[in-house]
Amino acid sequence: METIIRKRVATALVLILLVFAIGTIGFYLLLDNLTLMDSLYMTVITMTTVGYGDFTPHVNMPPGGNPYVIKTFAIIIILVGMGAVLYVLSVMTEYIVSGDLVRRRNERRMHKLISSLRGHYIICGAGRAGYYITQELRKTLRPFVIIEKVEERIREIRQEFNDLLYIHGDATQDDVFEQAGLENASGIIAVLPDEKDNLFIVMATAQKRKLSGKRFRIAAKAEHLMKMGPKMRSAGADSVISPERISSRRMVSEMFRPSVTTFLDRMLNDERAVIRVEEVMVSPGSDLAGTTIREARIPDRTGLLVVAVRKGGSGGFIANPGPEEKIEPDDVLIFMGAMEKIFTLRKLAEGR
Amino acid sequence: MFSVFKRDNELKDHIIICGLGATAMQIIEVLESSHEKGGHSFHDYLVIDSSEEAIEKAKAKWPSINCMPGNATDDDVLEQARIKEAYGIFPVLSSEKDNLYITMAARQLNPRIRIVARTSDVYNIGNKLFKGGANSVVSPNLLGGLRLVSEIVRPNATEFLDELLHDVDTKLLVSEVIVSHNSWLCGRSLKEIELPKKCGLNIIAIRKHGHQFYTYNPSAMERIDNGDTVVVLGYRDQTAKLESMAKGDD
Repeated sequence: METIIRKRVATALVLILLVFAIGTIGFYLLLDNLTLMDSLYMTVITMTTVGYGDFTPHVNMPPGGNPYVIKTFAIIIILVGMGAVLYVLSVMTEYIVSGDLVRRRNERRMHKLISSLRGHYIICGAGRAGYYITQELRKTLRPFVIIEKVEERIREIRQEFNDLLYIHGDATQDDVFEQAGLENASGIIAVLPDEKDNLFIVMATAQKRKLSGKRFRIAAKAEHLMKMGPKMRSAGADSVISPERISSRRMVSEMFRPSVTTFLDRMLNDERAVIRVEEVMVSPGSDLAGTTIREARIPDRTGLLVVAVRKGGSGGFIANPGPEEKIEPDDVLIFMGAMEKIFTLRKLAEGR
Repeated sequence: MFSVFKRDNELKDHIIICGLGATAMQIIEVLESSHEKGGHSFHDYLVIDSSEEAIEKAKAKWPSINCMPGNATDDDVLEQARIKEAYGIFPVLSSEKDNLYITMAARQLNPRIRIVARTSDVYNIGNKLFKGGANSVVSPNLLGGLRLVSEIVRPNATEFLDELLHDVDTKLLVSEVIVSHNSWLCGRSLKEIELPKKCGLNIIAIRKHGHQFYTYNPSAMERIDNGDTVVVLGYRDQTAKLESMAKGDD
């Protein structure tokens, strides 16, 4: 939309410059005693209907000039010039007004989209961690909305991820979560720079979870795991992560491990497709429920292999489940494969 | 001070930690706790920091660590830390530029040293660190962000992978097995091989000989040939059985 208007502004400007050029050259050639500057000046006072009278086709008529030709030229310049000026004015007005309108309409449309989300994730904070989270959720085809209070950060992250759903607001303000559709969300990730803000988000959303009886998961970033971890957990966080701690451990293991890359590393970085180890929970309404692995024919139907099963969604994992292993409601199946295939399986397991 | 330098002169195959910031403290904690458990214990490590105060603080926490006062961005200081004899280095000062400098200096002074760096900017600084000679670059925001996503969107799969990767007790592991030319597996399809029946394993991926990428969840019709790599997930005894089949000793 905006690009169309921008194009029109450009056309209008080109048009008006063209009229200036033709008028200036035309008057310069047709009339007498005019410099190029005078011709330009004459074109402008003609087009804007000012017409001071210091230069006119009459006053500057060359000896033996044809008044019909000169007057016809003046008429054309007046009409086309006025038209061009009006066109430019109207396009510019439209640009100013509609830019605003378009933005507001887009925002309304986006808020509608956000409120229609189901099973989505809410990210609080579009800093660096928020950026990588956005990237991963996009790659794994998951719906999400990001809340950020600094407009600049929203602009930056939108440049990279188009059609990003976002809320420009402060995640520590309660009403923002209403807007983000907390009631229908599957999870919250709090990655604001200040860990105290993250603690606040954990407390606020966990309280709402308790009141509404929903089951969304809450994860938060903490700098000081010793100090913050227990507080966040007792406030209701399902998971508390310290990026510094994880990366220090990784650095030590990178230092000592042999330099061969492992299968899992290569899998995560496969350039051809997004391959992940994922999970689905079997819902009671699914036609997988009550069958055996053999009967479920998951490889035929989805191209995926069940790597492990977790009975009832808790306790130990059964790796490489045999063909006679029963699949029951609330069992969690673990898989590895391309995201699109996993979505087919998810539909199957959820009975959709 | 004298005793510190005397120790330094004996250092060999050691690890140098540049700086005593938050990351360095975390690294030391991991190293210390693995020392207690008996891992990585053959490597001594040496910490360089320009602040005496920071060194005092670290010494108070871990009395036995080797510290050396000095600025790690100074090549002479790195030489004093016997970088030419070192096994590895962690450039973890608070400034990204300093870390880039140390990475380049370390690579120049010791072509064999293992350099593990960190950055908060994977794309810009990360690439520069690799070009400067880092063997591995770690980004807290990237790792932390990915981990947070995993914890939220796939908590069970995450726990499963953790058991696979870190938990020594489960003995469950992902293994890559190369099929040799005199193995019975050669030239047969997965359906014919019936691996689940023979050793309770599923082949989760295959990498054909000479190919870079894997085929995940191979179909029953997929054929195994000489030199192919098969990936399985299973217990040690199951995998051992497959390994002997792939070698062709039975």
